[in-house]
Amino acid sequence: MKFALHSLRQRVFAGVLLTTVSALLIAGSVIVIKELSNYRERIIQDMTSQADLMGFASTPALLFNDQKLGENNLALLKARPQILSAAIYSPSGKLFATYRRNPSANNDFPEIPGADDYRIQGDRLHLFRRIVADGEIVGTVYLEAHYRVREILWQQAVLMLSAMGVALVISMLLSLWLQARLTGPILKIARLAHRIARERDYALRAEKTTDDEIGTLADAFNDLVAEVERSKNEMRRSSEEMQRQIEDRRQAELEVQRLNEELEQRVNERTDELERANKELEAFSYSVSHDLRAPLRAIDGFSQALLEDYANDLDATGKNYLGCARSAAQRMGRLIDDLLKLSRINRAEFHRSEVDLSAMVEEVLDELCARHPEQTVVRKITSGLTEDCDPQLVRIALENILGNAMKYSGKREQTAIEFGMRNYKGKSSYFIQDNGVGFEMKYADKLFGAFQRLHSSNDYPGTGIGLATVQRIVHRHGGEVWAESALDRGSTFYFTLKPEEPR
Amino acid sequence: MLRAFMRVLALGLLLLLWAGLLVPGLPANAAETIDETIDETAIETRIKAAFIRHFCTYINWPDSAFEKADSPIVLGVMGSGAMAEALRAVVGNRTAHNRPMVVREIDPGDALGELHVLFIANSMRTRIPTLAAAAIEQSVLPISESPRGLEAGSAINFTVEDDKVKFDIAPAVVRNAGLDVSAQLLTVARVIRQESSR
Repeated sequence: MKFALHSLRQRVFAGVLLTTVSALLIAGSVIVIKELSNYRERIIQDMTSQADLMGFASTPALLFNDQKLGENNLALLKARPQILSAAIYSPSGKLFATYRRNPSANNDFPEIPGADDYRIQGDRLHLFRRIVADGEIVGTVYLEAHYRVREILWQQAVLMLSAMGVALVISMLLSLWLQARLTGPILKIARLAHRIARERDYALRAEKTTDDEIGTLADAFNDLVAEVERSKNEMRRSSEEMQRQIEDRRQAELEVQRLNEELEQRVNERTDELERANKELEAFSYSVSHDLRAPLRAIDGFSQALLEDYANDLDATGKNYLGCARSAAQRMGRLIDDLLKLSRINRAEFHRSEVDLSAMVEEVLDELCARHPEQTVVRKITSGLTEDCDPQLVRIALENILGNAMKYSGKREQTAIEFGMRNYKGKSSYFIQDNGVGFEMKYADKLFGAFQRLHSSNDYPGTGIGLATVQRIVHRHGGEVWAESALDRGSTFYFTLKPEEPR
Repeated sequence: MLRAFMRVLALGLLLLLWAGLLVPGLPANAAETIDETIDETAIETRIKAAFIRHFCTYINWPDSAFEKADSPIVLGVMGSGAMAEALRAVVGNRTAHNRPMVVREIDPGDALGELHVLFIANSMRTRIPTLAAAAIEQSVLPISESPRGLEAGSAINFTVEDDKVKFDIAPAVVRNAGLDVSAQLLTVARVIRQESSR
């Protein structure tokens, strides 16, 4: 961290210096090159025009062969220190007049003048210029000048280096200022971030000093820290909340478990109680039924004896009363028989075996038809339906359902009875359908209760025990029984004989 | 003396070469065989002729001195057939002020009106005052080669000093003739007479 901070500072510093140095180097190089090229161009132009002037001034000297005048003209070049030597050549190429800036130097002049041209040899510029008057070459001017390219290069280099030095000092100061203005706040934020990471103190905030990107950075940093703080609090809160919820749920589960255990215990208790009560009830009803039969038989028997032995002492009304008493006693006997049957069903042993239900339905219907020869019965029985069930109990159930079918369609011209298997709301169920009077569906739930009757016993005699018996039998098989009907539309009884397979 | 002679000889040859003119049939080493005096005079004449030609460059005549824009500058020579010949050789097809130059030999008493330059040879030195005065009257530049020529009224006068041809010029006289003289010419002239002769 310490190193990174150091590095950022160094990088800014190095960046400023590098930028300055490279900009200066590039600009300086361009300026020097341009300067040198300018110098060359300038000195050549300068020397050319100087030579032309000299040529023009010396034309009369050449024309009138005045060497002294030529020398005098050349001597004027003293005013131009960079011209080291000069000469004028006559048209035939002979030296006409000469000039040396330093008389002691005895460097040779070119023997023959050159054409209009210049050449640079080291730090010397040699230049020839023809003198033309009236379209004729009247002579040639030669100039030897100091070509100070090295001097200028040196000058420029010194200038550039000193400029660079000054610029470096300024840029160093600038970079120090930048450190204070730019990297300072950034480093402060970095230190703050480090501190926050170490101390986990999210209440700390960066100080915003400027309105620029660094200020934005400080703002963003503060927002970030605030967000972290907020989300950390949020997380803590939600974690606490979750903890609490978990605790609640655990408590609730414990409670449920406790209640379940309690419930189970209670159910067991109740079941035991119920079983006990049921057994008592069964024993009671059996004994009641059994014990009630004797007095009933006595009532019926003595009523019959009265009718037979004292028929002459009784008027029609008395006979009628006795008839009523007898039929009531007989009905009660039947009721007791049915009740006994019902309780027997409960107590009967239960053995499953393969039963051909279709054949059993045929048999039962045969018996019923024999008992009611006045009824025309049309059967429609799906053959070959077999079921693993208790044959005696199922026969009782079928007798009840088919008996009802015969009974409630007795007033039709023709009784139509159908037996088969049908898929009813996903359950494959047996059904027995008749074309009897039917019933209203709102009474469907009362159908299977004991002593519950939907029709008056005057129209359709019965004890109201039959369908209760059927339900008891079906339940002992683990199956279900229900019915569908509408008034005058016949009714359909559905039943299954095994527990519904869990899907 | 020999060195001086050789120098003049070289200069003369040089001038001849420069003028693009070589005497036809004259061998390159002919100078050595020619009589010294005669030779020296001929060379002097040729140098003077060349000088006269160059004067035309540095002297400006008014436009009224010419009939047309391309009318020639007429160089009159009096009293020296050699000079007329030398001038013709020097002038050739050359021009001054974009005008061709023609050489005409003049006899005493001839009209000077068509001339622009009048050379009065030393043989005619007694006539200089009248000729010069007449020439100046008619915008003709009088040139002489006699001692005290300028005092006699000439505008330019040749002299020979140290075996070199020099000339004196009197700008006032030139201006009296209605002509302009270039300052450049004055730089070459050996003596400049500023005072007017009149």
